[in-house]
Amino acid sequence: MLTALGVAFGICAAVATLGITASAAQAVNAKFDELTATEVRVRFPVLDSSARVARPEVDQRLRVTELNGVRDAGLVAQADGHPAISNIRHDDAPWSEATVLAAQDGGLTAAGATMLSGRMFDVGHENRHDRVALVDSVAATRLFGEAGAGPGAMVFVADVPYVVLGVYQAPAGNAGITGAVVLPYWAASGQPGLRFSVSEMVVRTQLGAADQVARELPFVIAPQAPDDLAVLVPPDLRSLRAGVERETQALFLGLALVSLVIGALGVSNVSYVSVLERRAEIGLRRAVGASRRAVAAQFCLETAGLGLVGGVVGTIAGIHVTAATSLAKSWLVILDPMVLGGGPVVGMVTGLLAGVYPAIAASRVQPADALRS
Amino acid sequence: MQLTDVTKTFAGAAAVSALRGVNLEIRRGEMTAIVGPSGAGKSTLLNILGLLDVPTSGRYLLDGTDTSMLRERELTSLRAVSLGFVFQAFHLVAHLNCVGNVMLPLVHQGWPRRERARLATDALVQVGLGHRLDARPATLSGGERQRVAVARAIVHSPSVILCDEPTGNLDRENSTHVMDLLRRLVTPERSLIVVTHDDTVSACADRVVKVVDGAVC
Repeated sequence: MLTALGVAFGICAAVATLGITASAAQAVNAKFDELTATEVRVRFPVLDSSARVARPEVDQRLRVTELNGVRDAGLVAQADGHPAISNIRHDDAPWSEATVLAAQDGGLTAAGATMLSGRMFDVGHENRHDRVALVDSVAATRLFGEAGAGPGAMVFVADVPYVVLGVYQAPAGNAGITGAVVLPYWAASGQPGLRFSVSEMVVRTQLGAADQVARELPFVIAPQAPDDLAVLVPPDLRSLRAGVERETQALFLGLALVSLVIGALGVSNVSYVSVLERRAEIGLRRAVGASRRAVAAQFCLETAGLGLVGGVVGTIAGIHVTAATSLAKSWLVILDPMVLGGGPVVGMVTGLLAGVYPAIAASRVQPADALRS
Repeated sequence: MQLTDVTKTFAGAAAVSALRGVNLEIRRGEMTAIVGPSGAGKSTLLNILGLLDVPTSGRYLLDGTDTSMLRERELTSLRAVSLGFVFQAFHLVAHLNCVGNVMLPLVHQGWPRRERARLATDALVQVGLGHRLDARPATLSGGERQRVAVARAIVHSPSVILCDEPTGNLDRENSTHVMDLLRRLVTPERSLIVVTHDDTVSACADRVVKVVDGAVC
């Protein structure tokens, strides 16, 4: 029975590899879809005399959000350079590594920001040109220490005071709004010490709508010169993921195959030893009428049986490994029925192939020699 | 059974001539003992008679069939139908019970399972082991094992039974029982050939053939 263990290991590795990669893919897929594959950015050209696209207007957001498949959208402009930021006026050593943004509430939400405390801008802040700001959690810690920014805290951007309205958290991997101080979008039209020359429309789409929305956006935003807008669609992360998944799966299946081959060699070796040990029995069977083919078939059947046992054990073990791994990672367990049915079959075929050489050796045993020994 | 000028040479660095020009006729209904010193060629002669080996030259007729003209598969079929074997070392399959061992010759002749079991049981009853049908070889005495081997040799009603030192591994009492049993198997339609060193065994035979240096004296 130990000889079947090698095959069991191989099948277990193969089933677990297929199961875990399928389960992981589901989880990874969901993550990619949620965070990245639904974000589209439209970059406006830098404003100069030759620009055919005017400075982005606040109401463009409304036109964009009316598109099918758009969940949220808003303008985000980035201040040139790194303006001095401090929590006190006339700071001698202001923080000058932060990014200063001017954003519509929808832009920040579309970029994936979630409020940790306080509240988001609203239309009133825009219309009244309120001097308010949102601060990223990283920036809040940098400016106000571990305690963070309390209600009514002030942040000075280029020595202009803004009341901190809330603290948000940027999604992992979004460098654009991480560590930033965000002002309402009205500030993009010009504030003392600040110049915003780069503007983007950040759009959050529904699943699978990114490509379609990306094609429509330039015509909605700048129908007179759609080609002047740079549309940044997310790379096809699903195909990227599929590629990575294929590579990973191929690697692990390769390892499973090696394990299976080692198992098969083990079965073959033990079976060959069994032929040597059972020479007398083989000789006897030949003497009482077994043909060479019948003797070979007997050994092939025996190793195929061992392979089948190994395949069944390996498949069951593989299911458990997949289930345990998925449980530990909170993944949905996904197992292809073909894999479950295929495991025992592959085990049996492996055993059968492993038995070919011993079977040939058994069929060549001369009964007279074998019975004399 | 008729051997005409049969020789057997084993190839190798130094070729060994095991049988040299053997002429021998064995008639139905006879018990023939083949005797001779060790290395004289007794077992080689038995193997050729039992179609377990083929002569280097010469002719062997079995029931009127020239075996030198047959292919291996045909030799195997002829051996399965016409011959039964009893060996000194019993050669029982350890993981099969008595019935399983005895029915082995029938398996390769395509008998239905139920019929195989019936014939095997009958054969075991005939050799006095009707009470040990399900016993494994490891639980049997030497005499019982040899009787199972005898049952296996007769289960398919062969015309010739060949025995190679059938009492070689048995004590005197069991030897006597086995020889009595074997002697009773000789019928007008069935012959028995025994290779032996044992004088008491050869004394039971109708005819004694002595082999010395590969030749029949």
